[in-house]
Amino acid sequence: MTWLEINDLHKAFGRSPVLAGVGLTVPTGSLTAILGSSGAGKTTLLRLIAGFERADRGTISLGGLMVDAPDSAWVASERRRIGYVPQEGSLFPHLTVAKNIGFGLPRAARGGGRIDELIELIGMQGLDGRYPHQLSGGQQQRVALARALATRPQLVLLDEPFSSLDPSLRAGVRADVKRLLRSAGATALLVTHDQDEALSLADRVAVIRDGRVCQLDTPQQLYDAPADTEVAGFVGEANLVPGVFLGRSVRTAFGDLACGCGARPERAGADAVVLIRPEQIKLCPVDPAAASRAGRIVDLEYHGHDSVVRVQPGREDAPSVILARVLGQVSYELGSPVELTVEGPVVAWRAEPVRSAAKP
Amino acid sequence: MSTTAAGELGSAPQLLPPAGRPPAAGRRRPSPPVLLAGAVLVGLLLLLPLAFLILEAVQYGFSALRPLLFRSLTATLLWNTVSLTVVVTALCAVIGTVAAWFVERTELPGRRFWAVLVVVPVGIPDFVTSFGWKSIFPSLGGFGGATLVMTLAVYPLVYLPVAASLRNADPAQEEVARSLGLGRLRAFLRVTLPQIRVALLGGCLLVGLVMLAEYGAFEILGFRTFTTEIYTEFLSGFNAPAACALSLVLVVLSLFLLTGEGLARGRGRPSRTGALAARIPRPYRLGRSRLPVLAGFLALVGLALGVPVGAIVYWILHGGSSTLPSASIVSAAAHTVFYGIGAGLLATLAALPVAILSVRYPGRVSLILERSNYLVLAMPGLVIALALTYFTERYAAGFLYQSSTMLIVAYAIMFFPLALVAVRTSVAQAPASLEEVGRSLGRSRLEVLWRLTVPLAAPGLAAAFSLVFLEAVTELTATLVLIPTGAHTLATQFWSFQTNISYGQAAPYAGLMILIAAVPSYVLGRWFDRLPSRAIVSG
Repeated sequence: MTWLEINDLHKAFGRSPVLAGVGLTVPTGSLTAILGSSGAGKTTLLRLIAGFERADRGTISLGGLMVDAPDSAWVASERRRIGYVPQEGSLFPHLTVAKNIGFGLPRAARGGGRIDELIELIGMQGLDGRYPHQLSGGQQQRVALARALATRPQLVLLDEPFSSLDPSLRAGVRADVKRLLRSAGATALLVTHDQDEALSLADRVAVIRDGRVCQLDTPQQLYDAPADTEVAGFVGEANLVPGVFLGRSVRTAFGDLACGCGARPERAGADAVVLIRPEQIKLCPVDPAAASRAGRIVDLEYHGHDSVVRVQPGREDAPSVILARVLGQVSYELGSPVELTVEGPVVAWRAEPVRSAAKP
Repeated sequence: MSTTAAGELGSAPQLLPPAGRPPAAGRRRPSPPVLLAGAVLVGLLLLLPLAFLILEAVQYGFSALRPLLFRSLTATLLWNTVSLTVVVTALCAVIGTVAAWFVERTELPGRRFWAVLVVVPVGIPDFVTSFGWKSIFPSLGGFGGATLVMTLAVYPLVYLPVAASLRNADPAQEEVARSLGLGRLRAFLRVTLPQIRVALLGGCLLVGLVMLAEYGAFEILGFRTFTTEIYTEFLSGFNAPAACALSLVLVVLSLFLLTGEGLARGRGRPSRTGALAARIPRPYRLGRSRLPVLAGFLALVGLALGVPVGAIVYWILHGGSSTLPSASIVSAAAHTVFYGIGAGLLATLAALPVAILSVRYPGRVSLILERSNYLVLAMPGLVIALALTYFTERYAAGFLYQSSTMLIVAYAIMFFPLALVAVRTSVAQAPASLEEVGRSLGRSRLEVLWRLTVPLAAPGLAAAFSLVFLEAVTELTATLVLIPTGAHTLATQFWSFQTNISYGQAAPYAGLMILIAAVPSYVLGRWFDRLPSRAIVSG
């Protein structure tokens, strides 16, 4: 069942359009991420859903009820049954943790067990009398979430909830939030510019660009079958290599590569752009004597769990630098000659790709 | 609370205009009807005195007012008022700026001590300062006397904003200027002065408006200005047309001053660029000039604070005040406090809807309200009081005339601009996002207003109240016109005694008035510093 449904949403501030026909559906009980770079319109979309702004055109419905349809329907923010977690938590500075959490509850319920229940849920027993400035960033964020969940909202909106946190805290708070949302059974919509966050947290990810949703998919689909080269680059590191279509496979500088399942067959002989993820590239050492056509390592980045290797392929028909991700330690040195091979299916588009609109 | 985190994550996207500044166009959120109604009511109240004044002028007609306007008396008063205003404002600008620079930027011995003492004269009513000087130097008077007394009484109005602006200004800019080879003086003129320009202009504007509105000090010194003349016309059988004509000139002068300041200030430019990390500047060493500077501060504080306070103490001790009418002083103090509290509450309450409307829902209505507030600034208290008097006498059969309600309303109108500044600042500092969160939690707009906006703005509300209270307690001119028959405030009792040259009897009233004005402001100041919400507002 769909809880949130958005159709052809438009919004402009002054003369600059921010949203230009957004369409989006969020199934009940799911966690959907809206992923986009700065200025793509993510936060504006969230504010429209929350009812802080009105749309210029298009409709928003929540649980089958039309809440924003210009000139016909408008439901005020306080009657939308949403929970909102803003970027910096925005706890009420003059209220204690307990009072923050109980803010949205009816007066009679403010003394009751709901607040204790939530404080326990976020694991902050004993801190209910603290003021926001006495809490760490992670604690503040958890209280903000508890406050949003207190009224048992039908939809929880999270606006970059982790971006103001210290990177070392982020992973922990992220896991907490996911657990809390699951246990509350809430439908949630998360806005982020961090692809790692979107892929690891969400059931479904909507990529938003130039005020439009350009792909809505599961994280895996998004990574393995991006709608276009830009999405491909946005959700992960991407090597884009020229090639030529051969029916269901493509011919590239690294050999003939099979296209992933679900790929539309293209006319053989057409020019292609091929996406090869860095982890698909395998490096093999070559004898220096036979190294004239081999690649050469130009940079090594050691990350502990893996290493990123930059290779100059040494071929005219390949890009000047290829990125490869290698698990663990790399046994090569700068300048070593290596042979590149590609594993697994790839994604290919017609060259000079037309930006595809939303893929259903 | 998260400035450091936000600073580290400099890449965090900023998609919306900052909270508190709604988008310039697009669908505007309608303002809540209750708020709008309240604000419009306040706006009408603010415009009443000016409307009455204009109505009055129209009634008399231009032909009746012309001979009163174009006579040599008007020219004399104009010359007196304008020349004194210009000279005093210039002196205050120099004294206030120099004192602020030494206190904020140098190793002046006892900086914190001087920082307090230099400001204290602002709490002493100008007519008390004037009384202090006159009672010690009876021959003081005329242009010179008025210049001396008024400069010493009002220079803190320049000192305060300039010192605050120096504290907030980025000291690195001055250091960069020094590193580029500018001397201390040239660095001050080319870098520091532009940084504090807006504050300095604002301070000068305040001084100018006070000069135009002042009555008591000039009366004591025997210096004739528009206000003294208007009051004389009012007393001498209520020569209403003449008072009206002179009031109009005074209002026009004030408007000139206000627009002049607005033009000179121009568009506000940011005083600093880059990160906002506050850094304490390294104070300049004074070296050999240390003693002369100290002597200067000693002289300033001695003249501005020592003389009036000393005079009051002297007259209390030696003025033969053995016949101190203790019952009368208690009743006068009670009236003073009562009117002050009434005015403080009314003005703060009136400022709240206007402030919220102008910060959260800027639009045509809030613009009109701002303009009304501006017009009130141009109305000296005496003119407001006379306009209200005239109207009730003429159209309301004396209804409310010389009632405590009328006096409190007059105070609230006069000091509304002060209340508005304090309330608006704190409403603007309370992030709009908090109110949005409140509404998303299912609470109505009015409930959010009551449970979030008002508590967050509480320091501003308390500041507004105490400012208006302070001003009302030390107000003389409008009080003399509007005080209920038979009632006395400390100011009016002081005034009647000093008019009879009963200095010994007048002094206790002045002393108590200063105490009543000073104590709550000190207590409130300490209290604000401890409020938990300070932590957020300052981030």
